[in-house]
Amino acid sequence: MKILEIMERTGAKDTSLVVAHIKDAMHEMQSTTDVEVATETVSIVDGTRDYPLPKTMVSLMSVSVLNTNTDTYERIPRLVGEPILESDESP
Amino acid sequence: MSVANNKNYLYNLKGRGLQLYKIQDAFGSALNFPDQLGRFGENSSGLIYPDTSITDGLKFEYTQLPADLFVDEDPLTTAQSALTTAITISETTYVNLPRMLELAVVDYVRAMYAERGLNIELKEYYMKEFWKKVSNYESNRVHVHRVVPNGALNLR
Repeated sequence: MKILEIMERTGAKDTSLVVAHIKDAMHEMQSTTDVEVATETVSIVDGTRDYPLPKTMVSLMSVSVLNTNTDTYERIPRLVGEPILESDESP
Repeated sequence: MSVANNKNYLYNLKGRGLQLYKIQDAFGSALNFPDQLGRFGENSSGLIYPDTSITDGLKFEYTQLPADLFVDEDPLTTAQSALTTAITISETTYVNLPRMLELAVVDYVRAMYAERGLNIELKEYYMKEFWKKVSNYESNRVHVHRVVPNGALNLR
């Protein structure tokens, strides 16, 4: 469907505003459906806890860790609740 | 060496990042690593920071805004691989989405224009239509075989 057709169906006149709304609609949709799925890998570093999430991510579907024995990625579960901190010397 | 990952690792989401934890084994082997910082819990099954470096060891699967959302050719008549992403977006640019989601987008734009006109009731109506079409698209792709068992005392 052309942007022009969307404008005609909605009675909109401003092309750039319609384009912005289309992008917003995509963001809304991507939070519940998987129109475009992507994967990204980062290296795990000994002693490092924090890793950045992908910048273009709308919603996270799964997190996997590489099993070096089988060379396959295995899904890992999400922690339920906050961990009880005993000691944390990390800066 | 990293084995049985799905049992050894956990993650937690914090702000714009992810916190990765490893579950310390029963023998407390992770304590042998002097560089281990941040130990959680009081028993030997507490959580520790990852104690092994693994190249490309962490994989995220996520949804994102499609790179080819706006294309120059008609997606209905052109193969997906032959579509070119529009550099400049104009009225003649095509939106590259499945038909049901295109119709959902139309409802979304209507809702936003209703909101600009302070017609909140109409906005809510179009947003409802928007989500209805999105869920229709989603449910159309999932085919589940349902088996409903008959109860012993059901009328036949």
